[in-house]
Amino acid sequence: MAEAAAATAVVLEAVGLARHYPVSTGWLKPKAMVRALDGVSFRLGAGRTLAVVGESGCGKSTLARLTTMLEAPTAGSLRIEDRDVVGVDADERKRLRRNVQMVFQNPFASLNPRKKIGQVLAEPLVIHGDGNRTERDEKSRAMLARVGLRPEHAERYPHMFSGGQRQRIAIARALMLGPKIVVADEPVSALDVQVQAQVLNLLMDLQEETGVAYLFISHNLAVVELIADEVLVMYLGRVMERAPKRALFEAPRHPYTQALLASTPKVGAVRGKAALAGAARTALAGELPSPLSPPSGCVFRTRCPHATDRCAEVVPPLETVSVEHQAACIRLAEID
Amino acid sequence: MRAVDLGGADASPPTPIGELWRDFSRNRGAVAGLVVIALLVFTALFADLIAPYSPSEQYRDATLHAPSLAPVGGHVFLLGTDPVGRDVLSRLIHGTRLSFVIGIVSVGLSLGGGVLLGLVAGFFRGRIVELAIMRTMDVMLALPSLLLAVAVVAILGPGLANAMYAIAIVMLPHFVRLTRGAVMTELAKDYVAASRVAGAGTARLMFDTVLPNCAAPLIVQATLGFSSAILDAAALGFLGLGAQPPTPEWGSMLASALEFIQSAWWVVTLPGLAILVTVLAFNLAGDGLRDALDPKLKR
Amino acid sequence: MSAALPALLEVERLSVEFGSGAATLRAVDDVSFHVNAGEVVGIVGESGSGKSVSALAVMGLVDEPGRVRAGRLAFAGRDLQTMPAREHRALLGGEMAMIFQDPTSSLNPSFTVAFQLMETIELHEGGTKRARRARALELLKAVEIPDPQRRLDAYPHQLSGGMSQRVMLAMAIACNPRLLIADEPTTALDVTIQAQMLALLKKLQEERGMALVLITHDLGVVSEIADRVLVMYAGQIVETQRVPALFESPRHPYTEALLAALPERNTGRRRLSSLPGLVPGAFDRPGGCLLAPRCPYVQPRCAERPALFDLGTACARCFFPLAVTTPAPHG
Repeated sequence: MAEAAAATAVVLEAVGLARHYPVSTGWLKPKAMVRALDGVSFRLGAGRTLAVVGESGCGKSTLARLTTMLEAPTAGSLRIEDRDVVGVDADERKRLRRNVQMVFQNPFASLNPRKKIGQVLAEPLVIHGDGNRTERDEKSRAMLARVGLRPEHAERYPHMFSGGQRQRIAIARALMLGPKIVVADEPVSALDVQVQAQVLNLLMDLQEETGVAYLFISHNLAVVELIADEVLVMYLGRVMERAPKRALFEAPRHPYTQALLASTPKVGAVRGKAALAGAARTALAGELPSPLSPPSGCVFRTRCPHATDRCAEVVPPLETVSVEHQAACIRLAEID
Repeated sequence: MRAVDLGGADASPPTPIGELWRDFSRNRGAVAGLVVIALLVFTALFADLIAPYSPSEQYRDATLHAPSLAPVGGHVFLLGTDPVGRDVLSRLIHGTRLSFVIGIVSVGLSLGGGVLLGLVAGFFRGRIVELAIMRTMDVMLALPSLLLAVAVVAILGPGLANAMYAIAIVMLPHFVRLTRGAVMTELAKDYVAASRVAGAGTARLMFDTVLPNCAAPLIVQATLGFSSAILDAAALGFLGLGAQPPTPEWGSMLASALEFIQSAWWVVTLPGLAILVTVLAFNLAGDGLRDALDPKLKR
Repeated sequence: MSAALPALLEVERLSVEFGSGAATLRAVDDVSFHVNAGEVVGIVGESGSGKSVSALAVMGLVDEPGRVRAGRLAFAGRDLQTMPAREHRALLGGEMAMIFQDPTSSLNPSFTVAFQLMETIELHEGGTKRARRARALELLKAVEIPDPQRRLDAYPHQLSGGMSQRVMLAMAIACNPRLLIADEPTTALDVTIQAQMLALLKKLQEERGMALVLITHDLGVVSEIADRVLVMYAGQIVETQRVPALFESPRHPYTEALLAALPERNTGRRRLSSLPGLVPGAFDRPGGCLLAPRCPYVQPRCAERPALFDLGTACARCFFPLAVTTPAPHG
C-alpha cells in the first residue's frame, strides 16, 4: 500500500477476500463452485463509512456475513482491529464479536418475535457476561432512549412496533456492546421515504456520538451519496470500482458504475421520449449472468457497452485512477 | 435531542396470552372442546370424591345390571354394572384419571425426546448425527404404528406403564420431524443470525432463541397427540397388552366386555363413548389452537 | 382538470374498510379520481396510504372481511358495481389488466410460461392451440424477453425477477387492455433491470394507446414516466397535479415533505429533513386533517376535515395550500 500511515486508525481490513460455495448439480455430476466473492480488498477507518453498492448477486450479503464472522472466507485475510480473524478458535471469535455488530435489512425478521424488547437488547450483554441484571436493564433503557424510543417499550414485543421503530431497536441492539464496526446490510431499504430519512439521521447522529465505523451495504445510490465517505462498487462478487464518494459520483470511471448512476430514476430528471430512449440506451441490456458460470475474463463484459474480445481473456486488475480511486477495467484510458 | 414521541401502541397492549385467548375463543367448537377438557380434568383430579363407589369393588348380587335409577340391594348404579358387579360409572370416572396420565406421560416423553432429537437434527444438518436420527425416524415411520407399539410391549411386557412407553416411542418420529422442520425454517431467519453475531453459542441458540419460536406447531401436535395416545392405549388395552384387570382403563373395559355387546350394551358402549367424547374434545381444542396460533405466525 | 371525453376509468367516493367496531381501519377514505384513455397516472404514497388497496378495490379484488363502498365505479362508461359477475370476469384481464409487485409469487410455479400465457389467451380470445402458442411467442417478443422460444417452456423458478415480471406483463397485455394497473412493478427489481422495465412499460403504453396507472412509493419512477400524479396519505388523496409541476411546486405540505426527505435533495446537507411522527393507523386517526399532528404549517383550522380543493392546475386537501413557486431556470 502506497498510502502513508492513515490519519485514522484502520478498524477493518480485507485483502483478497474470497468465498466460494460448492453446489451440487446432480447426483453423479461433479460439484460446481459459486464464486460469491473473489479478490475483494478494502479498508475501513475508525468513525468512517464505507458503502458497498451493487445489485443482486454482487456478493454484498456474502461480504456482510464474512465481516461479521458468520462464515469463514475461502481465501484472503480479514483483520478486525488489526487482529486476523481467519482461523481463530471459538473463544477468541466470541471476544472479537464485541467489535463487529450488524443491522439487518428486514425489520420484521431481525427481532426475535418471542422476546420482549428489553430482553432483545440485553441479550448481547448476557452472552458476554457484562454486568448484573440491574446494570443491564439500565443500559437497555438508556440505549432505547438514545434511539428515540420510550423506556416502557422495553416491556413490549416486536410485533407491536412499526418497521421504522423496529429498525431503531435493531440499531440499539447492535450498539449495546459498544462495537467499533457496525455492518449495516440494507438497513433502510425496506422503509418508507419519511421513515428512511429518520433512520438515516439516527445512524449519522450515532456515528458522530460514538465514533463507530459503518460498512454500509445498499443498492440505493442516493442514500449512499448522503452517508458514505468511500464507496465500493461490486458486480458478481468482484470489485469494479473503489473511490471516495465525491469522486465516484462526479467522475465514475467504470462502465458499470456509470450505468448504475444512469439507471437510477431521479426526480426532476429531463423527461420525454428522447430522455427515456437515452436512458434505455445507457440502461444495461441483458440479465445478470448466473454466478455458477460467470463470464471469463471481466465478469461485466456480457453487458458492457465497451466490451472487446480482449475483455474475455483478461481478468482486469484494479487500476489506480487517482488518489484512493481505483477501477477494474482494461479499457479505462480509452473510455470517456 | 432526537424526536422522542413516535406514536405506536400507546394503550397498554394485550399480552400474548390475552391475544391467544381472543383468537381462540372465536371458534365455538374449540371453546366447547376446552370446556369438556376442563370437566374431564376436574373429574380426573377429584375422582375419589366424585365416584360413588370404588372402581374395583365387586357387588356380586348386582352383576350385569342395566343402568337405572332404581336401587339394587341398597346401591344405585346409574350406569349399570359390569360382568363382575363393578359400578360402571365409578370405573369410568377413575378411568378419566388414567386416560389423562396416559396422555400426559406418553406425550410428555415423546415431546421431550422428539424436541431434543429434532433440535439436534436441525442444527447439525448434513452431519452424521442428522443422518442417523432422521433415517432411524424414517424406519420407525415405515412400520404401522400399532404393530410397532405391539412389538415394543411384547419386548417390555404387558402393563399400562409399558404401554405408555410404547406409545411414546411410536409418536416420537412425528415430533422429531416437526421440530426439525420448524428449526430449519427459523434458522434461516435474521433474528437467529443476529443472536449469532452477538456471540450466542449453539446451546443458547437452540433452547433460548429458536425453540420458543417452534412452539406453536409443537403445541398443536401435542394436543392432537393426546387424543391419539388415548386411542392407542385403548387399542393396546383392547388387545390385552395395555392395562391389566382390574385397572379401569377405558380401552381394556371395552376389550373385556365385547361378548356382551348385544346382551349388555352399557358395558361396551359407555367406555367407547367416553373415549369418543375425550378424543373429540381434544381434537376440537387442538384445531382451535392451531387456528389461533397460525395467523400470528403469518404476521 | 376535466377531460373533454368521458374518462376511461371513473372512481368516485371509494372507501374500503377492514375490521369492526373500535378497530375499524379505513384503508381507503373517500377517494375520487379518473383516468383518461392513453394517460399515465402515478399514484404515490408510503405504506398505509391505501394506494394498493384502492387499485385492488377498483379491480374488485378486495375480499371479505374488507368492505368496499363507492359512489361510482365505472370503466368505459359501464358501471362496475352493478355489472353481472360473468361480464366482470371478462373485463378483468381483458380490457382491464393488473400486474403486481412480487413476480415470483404472481406466476403459478407448477406450470410453464407457455401454459399460463396460453390459458389467458384462451380465456379471452380462444383459438387453436397452435395459434395460441404463436400468439404467446409474439407476446414474449413484445416484452423483449431474450431468447423467447426457450423461455416459453421454462418454469417460473427458472426465471429471474426481471424476466418473471416481463412474463407477467405479457400476460397482462395479451388481450390488448385499454387500462393497465401496475402495482409497484419495479420495486422488487434491481436498479438496472428497473430502468429496462420502465422503458418497456412506457414503450408498450405508447404503442398500444393504453392507459397506465402506476402505483409506487418511488417518486423518481413517477417523475420519469407519469403525466399526472395522485399523492395519497393514510387512505386519502392529498394532492393531484401534472408531473413536472408537482415536483417543482408541490401544493400540499405532505408532498413537499416527501420531496424534502429524498436523499438526492439533501446532498450537501448534514441531515435529511423529515416529518416527525408516524402515519396514523387504525387507532390514532386525527379528527381533522390527517397530517395535522405532523405538519410544520399546522393552524387551529386544521382540526376540521379539509376537502380536496380545486386550485386550478392542482387539487390539494389543505386549508392552507402552499404557494406556487416558479422553478429556477435550469442551467
